Amino acid sequence: MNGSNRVKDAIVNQLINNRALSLLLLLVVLAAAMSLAFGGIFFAWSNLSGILLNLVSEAILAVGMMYLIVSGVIDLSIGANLALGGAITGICLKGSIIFGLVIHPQPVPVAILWGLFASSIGGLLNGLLVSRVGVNALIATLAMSKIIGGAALYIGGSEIADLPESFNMLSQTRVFGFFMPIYYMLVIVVIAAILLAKMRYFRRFYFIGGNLRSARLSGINVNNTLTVMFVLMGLLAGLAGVIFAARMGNASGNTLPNIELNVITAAIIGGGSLSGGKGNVAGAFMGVLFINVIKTSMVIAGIDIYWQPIIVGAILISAVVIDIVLQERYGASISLRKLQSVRRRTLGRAGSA
Amino acid sequence: MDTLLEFKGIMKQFPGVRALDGITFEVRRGEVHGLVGENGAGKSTLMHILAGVYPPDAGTLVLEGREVRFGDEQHAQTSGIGMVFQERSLVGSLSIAENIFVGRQPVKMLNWVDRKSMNRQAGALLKRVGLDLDATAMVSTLSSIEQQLVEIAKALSLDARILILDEPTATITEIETQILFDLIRDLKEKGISVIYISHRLEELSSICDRVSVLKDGVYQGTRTMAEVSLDEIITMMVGRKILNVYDDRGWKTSEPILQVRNLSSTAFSGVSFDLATREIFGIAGLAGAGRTEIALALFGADPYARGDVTLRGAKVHFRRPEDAINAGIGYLTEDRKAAGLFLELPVAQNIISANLQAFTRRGLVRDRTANDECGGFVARLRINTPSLRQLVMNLSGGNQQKVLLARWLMKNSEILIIDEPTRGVDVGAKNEIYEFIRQMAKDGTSIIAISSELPELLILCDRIMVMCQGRKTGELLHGDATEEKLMHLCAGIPLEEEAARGASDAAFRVGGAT
Repeated sequence: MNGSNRVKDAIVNQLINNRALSLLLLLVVLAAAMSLAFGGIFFAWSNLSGILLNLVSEAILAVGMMYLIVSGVIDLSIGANLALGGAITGICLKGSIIFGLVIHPQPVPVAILWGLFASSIGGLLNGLLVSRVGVNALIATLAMSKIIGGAALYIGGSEIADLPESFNMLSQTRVFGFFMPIYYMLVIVVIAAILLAKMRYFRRFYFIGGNLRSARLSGINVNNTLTVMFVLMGLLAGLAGVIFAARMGNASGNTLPNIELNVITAAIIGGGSLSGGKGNVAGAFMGVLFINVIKTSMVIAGIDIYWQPIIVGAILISAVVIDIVLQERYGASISLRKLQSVRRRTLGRAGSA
Repeated sequence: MDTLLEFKGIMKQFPGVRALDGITFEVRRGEVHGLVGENGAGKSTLMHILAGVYPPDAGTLVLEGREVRFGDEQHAQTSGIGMVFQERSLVGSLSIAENIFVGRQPVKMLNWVDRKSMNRQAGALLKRVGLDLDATAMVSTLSSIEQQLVEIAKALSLDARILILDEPTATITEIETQILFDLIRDLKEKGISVIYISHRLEELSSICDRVSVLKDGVYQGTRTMAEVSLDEIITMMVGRKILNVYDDRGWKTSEPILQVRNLSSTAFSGVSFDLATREIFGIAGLAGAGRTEIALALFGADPYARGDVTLRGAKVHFRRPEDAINAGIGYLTEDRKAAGLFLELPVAQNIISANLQAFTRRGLVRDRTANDECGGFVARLRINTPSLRQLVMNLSGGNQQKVLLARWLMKNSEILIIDEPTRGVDVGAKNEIYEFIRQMAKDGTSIIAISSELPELLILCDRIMVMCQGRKTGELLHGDATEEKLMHLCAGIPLEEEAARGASDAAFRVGGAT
């Protein structure tokens, strides 16, 4: 193999395996095209800050969803869990009566902790259903999304308005032109990315998703790991709920429609595979960013709003199809390599080929 | 050689069956110890107990003179038991190094994976198993044998003193088997004991020092390989003698029913051959030689770029398997679990699945007629199943293969392509399957048999075509074919050269005592 082929191979390899990078390239192209077409700079601060602020919830959820997808499971209850986290925080801040229990207004940190705790419990129930009882993750979390969603609505109602200013400022403060939620999101994404890439515990996810039986036989406690993962997902949903409530200045027991499916879409576009064992956090984040930039571009370009879901659906299919095509083509060139790596002790003796 | 491991009266009961009944034998330090028995004899159960997957009901394991009792897999691993399971356990999207150190990657501060150290250690292990690969390469880019060797590296990574190999050659070719055997001999010299489980008995004589035989969960004895014939071992396994010879049905070259000329695709090029009526035509070759790909192209499951296929004098080009089936061609897949059987459906449904048309009246399947007919095939093929309603996944490998055969027998195809007819099938069932294939040929079916087991082709086929890297390298009549010649052609070495060098090349002595 000569040098230029090697370079070509390396580039193809990067494009296939580093979805975050290829999405970034596409984004740059898209932004340049938008800037040319509509004048001005597409990624001007104001525009960028608006896009990022809008995708905070999805990005935080996508982190946890990618963990689950890498492990070969999904969670459809995250939208409901997000609502629950916000609603519980809301009633703890304002005080309320639920199930005949009088809740006095709590200090902000305590209220937030209750919200996160509630969402984590939701995640724990998911985890126990999936790992201990053995319910399929799709069914378990679908059922839990109804239960949690109903509970959130019962507890929070459709609106808990006028949350205290000391709470709202958590999300409504600007630093260097960006609202705080963007920083929270970036910190979460970066930490989560490092954990999945570096920590031994988190590397297990790839084995659980890639080959469950092998993971078990290799001494990985699959059930515990899955449970922890769902709790983590619940916690992240709670965080997203709290941040969202503070940004809005009011909490709501209403579940944002379809947010779990949007997040799964982003994770798949970002390189995850529902069969497990594949994906990373950077990809999930880039998937979310990509979809949101596309949506914003369509708004700027004045494309009718009904086109948005059609385009997003087409992108999802394209991402998967391109993946299949590239893998097939690249896989073929690799199979030609055959036995070259095996030291030809036997072959040398046999064939002197 | 001293004793490393003893099994003492190991018992294991599963619901309804006594899987192991007082197994007692010893494994010496630095020996390759064969473990054989038909499917269901208890080999896997015994090895699972040794690997700590589940405990025995009674009896003890003695490792280096000390009684041990493994609570789980990890415990067995740290005690020096390395197991390579029959199914692959690697994750394709991760690097070799991570696969080797799954769950116990070397770490730095804060439990961060220390990639440098991990890759270095993995690199050393790869060298040890004779692989010259970058430890950061993704497993999905490796060939079958490379993955197998990585599995062994993984098992060795915990300083295994006993390495269990469960059917290590099931998915690799004969040349690759030699690579594996070289490694096993290396390990043996370093004092590692290997417990070697295989259905391919011919392998035993070339690699094992001793062999232990199990039958229906009962220990039958241990023999020194040099002092025992394969016939004897087979007798111990099945309790009866098996004739394993070519059956001369008096076949003569006749008008070809199928002619293939210059068939080419991405996987093979310029392949030509004729298939005669009532012939059993073999296709030999290593994995990746293009054998299965030719079958899939003929069957219309894969496209081919160039070439002509003539069926009964008329040119055909099948683009869908349905077309091939309607034209009287059947294909028995090499991977019966993934591509052949409906594991969660009953025996009867599996048999009639390609013949629904025949049992349908006014759009409704006539189950009773279908069942009657299936019953006939079950009896004829001696499929060992409690009833037609038994789910196929509960049958042994041999009986599953017979269910597939029954499906195509019922279809009564004129041409039947059988890919790896006896993969993962025990000796008794193997011979039955050979008998049925011969009987079908006698009854008028023309058969293409694809196999990576050369002895199998030698006893089945009237003619054998050999392929190497997508090209046809030769064609031998039964009378001319020997394992040596076939192996040369498989490796792409023309036969003249072989004659000049002399046929005594040790590396090709694969068949051993057969």
